[in-house]
Amino acid sequence: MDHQRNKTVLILDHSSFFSRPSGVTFNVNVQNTDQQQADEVNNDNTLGMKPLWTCVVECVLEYCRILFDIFEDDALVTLIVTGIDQRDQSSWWNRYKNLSQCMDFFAGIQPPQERSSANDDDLLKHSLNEAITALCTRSKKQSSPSDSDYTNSGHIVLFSTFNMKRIEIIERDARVFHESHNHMALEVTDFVPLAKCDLTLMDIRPLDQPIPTTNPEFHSVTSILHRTLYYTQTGQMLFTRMLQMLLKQHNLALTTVTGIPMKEDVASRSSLNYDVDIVHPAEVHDSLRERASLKYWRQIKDDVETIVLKWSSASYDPENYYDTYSAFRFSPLDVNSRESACLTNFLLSGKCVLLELSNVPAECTVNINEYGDEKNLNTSDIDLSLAPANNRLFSHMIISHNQELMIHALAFGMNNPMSKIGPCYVVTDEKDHVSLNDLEELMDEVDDDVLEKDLRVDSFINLIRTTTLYPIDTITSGKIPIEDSLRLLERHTRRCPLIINETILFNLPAPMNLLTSLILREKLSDEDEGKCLMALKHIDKMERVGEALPVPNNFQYTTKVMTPKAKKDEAYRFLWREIDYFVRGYKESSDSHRRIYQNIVDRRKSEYEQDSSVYQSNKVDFVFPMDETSSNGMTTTTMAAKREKASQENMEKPAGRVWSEFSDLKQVLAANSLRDMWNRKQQEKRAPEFDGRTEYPPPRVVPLYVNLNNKTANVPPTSSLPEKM
Amino acid sequence: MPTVLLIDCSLGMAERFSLTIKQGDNMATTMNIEKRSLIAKIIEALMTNVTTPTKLDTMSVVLFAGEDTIKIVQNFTKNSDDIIKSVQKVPIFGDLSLRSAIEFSKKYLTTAFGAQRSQKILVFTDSSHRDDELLNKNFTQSNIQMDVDLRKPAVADEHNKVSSSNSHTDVSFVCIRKPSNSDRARLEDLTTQAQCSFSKIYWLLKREKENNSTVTQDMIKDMITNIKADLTDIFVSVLKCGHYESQLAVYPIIKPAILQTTGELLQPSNTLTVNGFIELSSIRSAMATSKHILLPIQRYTRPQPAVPMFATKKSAVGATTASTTPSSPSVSHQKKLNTTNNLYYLLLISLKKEKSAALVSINDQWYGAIHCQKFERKKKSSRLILSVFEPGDCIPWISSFERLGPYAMVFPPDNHGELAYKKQPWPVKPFARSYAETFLIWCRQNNFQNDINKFVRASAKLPDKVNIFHRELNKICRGAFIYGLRERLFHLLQKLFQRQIQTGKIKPEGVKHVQNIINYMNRLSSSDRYIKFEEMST
Repeated sequence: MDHQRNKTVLILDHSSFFSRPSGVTFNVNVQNTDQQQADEVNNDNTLGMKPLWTCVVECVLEYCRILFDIFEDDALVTLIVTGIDQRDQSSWWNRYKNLSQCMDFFAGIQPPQERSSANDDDLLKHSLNEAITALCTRSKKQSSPSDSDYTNSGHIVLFSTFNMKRIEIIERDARVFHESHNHMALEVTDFVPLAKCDLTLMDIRPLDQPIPTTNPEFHSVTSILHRTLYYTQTGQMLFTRMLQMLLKQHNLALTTVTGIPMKEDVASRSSLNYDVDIVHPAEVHDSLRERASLKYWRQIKDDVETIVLKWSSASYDPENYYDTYSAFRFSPLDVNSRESACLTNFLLSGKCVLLELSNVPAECTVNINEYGDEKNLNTSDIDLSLAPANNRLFSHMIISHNQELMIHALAFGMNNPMSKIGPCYVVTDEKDHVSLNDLEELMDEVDDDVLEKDLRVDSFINLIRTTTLYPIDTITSGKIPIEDSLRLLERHTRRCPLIINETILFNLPAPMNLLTSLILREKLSDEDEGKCLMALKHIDKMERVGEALPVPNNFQYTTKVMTPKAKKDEAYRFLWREIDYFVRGYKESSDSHRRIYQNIVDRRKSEYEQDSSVYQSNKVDFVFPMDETSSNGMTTTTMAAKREKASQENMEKPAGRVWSEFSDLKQVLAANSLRDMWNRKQQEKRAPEFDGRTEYPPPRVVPLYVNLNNKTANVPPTSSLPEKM
Repeated sequence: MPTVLLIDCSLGMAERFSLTIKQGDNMATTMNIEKRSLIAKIIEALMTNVTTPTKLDTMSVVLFAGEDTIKIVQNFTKNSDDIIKSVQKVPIFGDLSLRSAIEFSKKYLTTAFGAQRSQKILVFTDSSHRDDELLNKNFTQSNIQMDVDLRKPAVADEHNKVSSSNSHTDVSFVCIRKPSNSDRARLEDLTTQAQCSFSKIYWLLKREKENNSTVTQDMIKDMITNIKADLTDIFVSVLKCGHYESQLAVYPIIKPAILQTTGELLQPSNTLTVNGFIELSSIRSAMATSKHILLPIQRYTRPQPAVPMFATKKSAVGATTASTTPSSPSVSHQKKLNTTNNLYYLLLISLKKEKSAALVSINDQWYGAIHCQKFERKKKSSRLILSVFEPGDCIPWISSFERLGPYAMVFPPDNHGELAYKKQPWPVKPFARSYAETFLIWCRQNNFQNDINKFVRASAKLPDKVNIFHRELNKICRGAFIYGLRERLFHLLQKLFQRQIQTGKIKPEGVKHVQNIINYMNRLSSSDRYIKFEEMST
């Protein structure tokens, strides 16, 4: 729907001809069996005759309804009634923005007079001129002159009564008008030249008048102007013609959703199957065309082609992500009917339905039994069944998006090969290359449940909820909402561990969890600040009382004395380091943050002076695993290359940019060699430091890659990666 | 992407070549083998490696010769051994009809996987050289081809061209000898005629060395490397979520896309940045131009005899894994070392639990969504799937990606309370849709009848529910104005209600209301514009 849409002008003849009775009746009889008999005797009291005008208005409004449902404000349709002055000549394409406005327009028009006036033909000519003016007027999308000006095309549909002479006059007039307008368009920028114009004439006749032919007559007046003439009687035939014309003009198509199960009424348990016809852009059927010619699913219903797709009775969860590749709006053909209402309510309530191809023709599929050699054909591994005849083949999905009905084309049906690809991509040391590996032993470890135990899933889910995106209508100036989300993600991941077993702080119960959640805020109220300080006091108290901490199972004690007391002390030391580290990451957010941090520093100052540097290296390791890439988007390959250069020793360790190493305190303790310091200095020179690394007090800076030299020596050569990139 | 290995079985495949196999340092054995065996060797080499393409692809083997001589010898499988086995005995038939074979393969792929996602056909053929002893045969063959060429322009309209360039089926050729320019053009032409896109030609021997028809194993190895590089075409990328990062393999490769609004060609960036999350029930299977599997990259070292290091050093994750499986120490150590893609797994599990998708930016103005999908072979494990959207804002129900704000900002908690997440409905675009609102559509008799019935039924309940009655009245009267039916319809309705009163269908207390509306209709029929009942009576 990206390309520019055709404009449509509908002209309704308001001459006395249309006050004639159409032969179509309407009945105000209340359908009650006992009353019916009485009324049948007295038909005059309940039956009324629709004038031709009513029939045309009904048809025009239905045309508009479908257009508005499918194209919304891009429907580009405008209405002209002969002899009725349009007040505002400039806003042709803004006037009718929805069906209500079209209805309002008709509500303000008197039905045609029965007395004929002499200048009906002149009025029609005037309307035709108006219509061409409208087509040459810029729509909202054409607001400025551009190349697309030369693809400006439109339809004029004229509902009237015609004879050969009249048609000739209209053709001539239309030609004169569009030629003069195109000339004008060369000089006036408000006008767009008309590159293609289809003039459709609808010859309306009452039911009792026969029509010469049911087929439309085509005639090319000029290379730009084409005329189509439909003869139609009022009633169902008019409606069918309108639909044919609509589908053709706007490249729409019809699908019949068949076999919709529907309870007859509350009392009866049986359900009957119903069909609902829906109208949508013709592109929806492209996917079918690629499988086989459309004729296999095509049916003719009331002279209009439709593709029959089966409602799939299995329940489908809108919380699945189906592989769809296109989506278009659709509208039910008979919108107020019970069946349509039932379907639309079902969809609007949030459910989605898959549509199934009832049968795929044999000549368009490959039957492996037919082509395979029984002996040689290995059928052991056929989990992808190749016989869609037995297998259901889903081709489309109907669903509502924010109360808009849409039809999606599904890509694979249900046969998605991606779900069969191995679990991980493996870089092997030996052969110096990358491969996909699905060894059983490796598959075991990707068991979701096992992973869940190790990772801090709950806290990440909180983050997901915090940054779940919702559309915003009004934006405050200069702010891009999605950047707020990025900022939130940054804040929440700045100093939080990924793995449960590596933290004490984040495993602590209330009131310490207040600290970890409140600090993440950009601003703290006095009350919040108080809560945080209370939490710190609480820890202090716990330590004094000697309460046990929730120490992770694999906590690495550095102390040589393995008494419970010594262990506890170390756990507390570790906890304070965590707190210190965590709060330091946010201390620049506000004065409150800084005060809380200062409080921590004051509290533990004396104890930590001697090993503060050790602690710093630890912090770097787990928070800035990829410091440089995060700040400037440098690729990992260059990182990897650097790492290789730096690593000289050989130790059994995977790529060491993960949190898991945080717990290896021994390693960290040993890491602070002279060369590390030198390396750190080198790194400092390279680029302006990331905020989070700036140490307090300046000018000291948190070092990078301290572990690298002694632990990550065995980083598998990733030399094959650059080739891939 | 699924791949069909399409193997030529025509007479030409019986041509002999000498193959030199190096053994040890300087020993070399030269064998005289037929082309078909050579092809079997190539496929074997392709499959027996550690990095066999079947790890990523599902593949099938189809033999072809004449127009009707097409045989599927191996259905789509991920088992390399089956594929190798199936090509060991390639029979020889007479004719060669490449085009029908490609068309068949395409149909075969479509039958199995639909036609919307990328697929591959790898043709192993000899038709690149026809100036050998097979000149005669190839000559007739090219004649057939020419017939087709002449016939083609009649059908080759614009539509055909467009669809072939957009085709998701790639065709590559593996030839023994480098094809001449005209041969190449012929193969390209064949591909387009079958509405596939031409990808590449690999060859073993260069054309200049025509007389020297010795194939060495190195040649095969080189070619295999090339083929494999294209077959298992992955894209190594970094997944970022705030400060968390994880390295991933994206398969198949993300193709550059064009931003419709500016016509700019966008390359996918190496970093997929998580911008936020959208519930699956809100993103509602948004359409994707391509789907990719995201696999964590793990550094794998072959299990070695346990080094003392392992015994003392335990990484955090490994410890728990090891504690659950204390046996087989080397394997479990191997495992724990591979569990290093913490963000990948964290995202995977959280998305699975939350039924959510992560919105990632692939480039400026180019987005995709990552969701978690179950791995079919093993129910307990899942993987992440990336759906790449068309660049720009092309999803009708997400009007703008940039205008998506995080929950915490869009629905801020009251006075600094805790954020309690509750799924919110997405705003509905204010547009009156005929199926969501009631419109007076009277083009079918039953629509009209329904509206009248409602109205009359409401009248029977009077004086209760006066409001409903008036609402129905206003609706009908507005309809009468819209459809130009006022006098006739009002007249009939007046009569109807008079009759209803006479027959006692209206409760005595309701008669007053009915009289009122009869008067209203009287007045309305002479009015030139529609006035609501309430407005008229005040």
